[in-house]
Amino acid sequence: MEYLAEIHLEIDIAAKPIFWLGNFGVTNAMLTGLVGGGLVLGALLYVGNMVRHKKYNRFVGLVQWVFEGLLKQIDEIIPDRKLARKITPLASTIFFLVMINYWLSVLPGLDTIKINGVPILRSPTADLNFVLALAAVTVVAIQMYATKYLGIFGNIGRYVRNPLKDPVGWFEGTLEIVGEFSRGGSLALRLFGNAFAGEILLLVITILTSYFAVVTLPIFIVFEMMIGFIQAYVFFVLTLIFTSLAVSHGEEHNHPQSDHSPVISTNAITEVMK
Amino acid sequence: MEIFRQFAESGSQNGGLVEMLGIDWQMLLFQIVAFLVMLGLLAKFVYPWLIKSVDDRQKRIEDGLKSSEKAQAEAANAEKRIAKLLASANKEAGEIIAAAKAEASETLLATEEKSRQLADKITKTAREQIDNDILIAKNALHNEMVDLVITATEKVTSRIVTDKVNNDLVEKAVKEAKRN
Repeated sequence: MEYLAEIHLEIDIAAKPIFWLGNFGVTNAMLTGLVGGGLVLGALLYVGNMVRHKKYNRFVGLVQWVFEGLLKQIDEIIPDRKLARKITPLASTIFFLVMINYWLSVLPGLDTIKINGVPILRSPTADLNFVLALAAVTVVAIQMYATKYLGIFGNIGRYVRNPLKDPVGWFEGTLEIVGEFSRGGSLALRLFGNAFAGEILLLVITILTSYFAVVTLPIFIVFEMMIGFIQAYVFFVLTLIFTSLAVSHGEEHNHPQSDHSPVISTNAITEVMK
Repeated sequence: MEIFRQFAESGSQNGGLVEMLGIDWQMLLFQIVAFLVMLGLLAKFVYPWLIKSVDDRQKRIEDGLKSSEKAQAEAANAEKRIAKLLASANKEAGEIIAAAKAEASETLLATEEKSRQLADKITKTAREQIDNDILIAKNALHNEMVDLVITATEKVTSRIVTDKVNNDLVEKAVKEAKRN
């Protein structure tokens, strides 16, 4: 117990700068994010090049297999095949980037290798800047797709309605505006919360189990990797569902019994949230 | 509790929630631009090929399925044709067998008729031969009987007659014999 009492665990919600480029602080999460982004970019460029030249190996097959699964999921959720193909790059990149960056948080050296007292390893998924950036891009992209699909006025019509003619619709539109912000926020904060909590969990387990950490930590590392996969998948699926919701809004009034009505999509969201 | 204390301290030291959470607008913008650059590169150089490979593969699978269905339909048609041909062949074979049987029956009848005619002919010939033989035997028997009558008459009459008388007597005896 004395051993535990002596431990002073410093946890920073914000990513700490390791060095400065003028006024711009390069944080530990940013460095890890660059490595993660480089890994994803390099791996996918390699796979794309190999597929282009019809050269295949196990790694290419693995990435193709994962991508095929993602594409199948996209086709199932997005009603329009053309739109599904357009959103594929965004949704797939989010999946690969989030998963790889999340997995970087389980690398040995977490909170132990430090420069000027700042750990050099911090998963960008545990940095609010990264997750907010992803959420912002997703929300803006969804708006762009909705505008392209429904038209400018059609998309605005989702939010702005005449309160005198359609008070219920006006209230619904107001809720939609709030919903857009809450969706973006929930996308970002869910991922951040899981990644941040995961890093803390690994630290706490390491401290609590001391030398036995060599036995306990791998179990939690595998657990964290699984959570990383799930979080990446959740972000990916929610991006698709929000897009599907946005583009199917116009058909809600015309075809209330359509296969991709918002009711079904809302149920799908509820399922993913669980 | 230590974590909450640090959280509260950090917030009070830095002055704002945004700063406390480490949200930096410059950093946020950098992350967005970096992500968009990465997305652009992947959308240009990777995903079209991956999508094409998946679409090609699905097309191959669909083509394979179609070919399989077509092959199954052709196999079913072939089976029908085979069944039809078999039925036709069976019918034809039945007809051939029936015709062969009829022909065999006819041949048998013709052969029987021919055999019967041959047998009749043989029988007739044999009968004629027998009749002929009987006639020859009868003649021989007649001659022998004439000789016997002559001899017996010679012995009974014990007298010598001329050849002419003798012959008259013999003929007379024969005529009587025939008459009897």
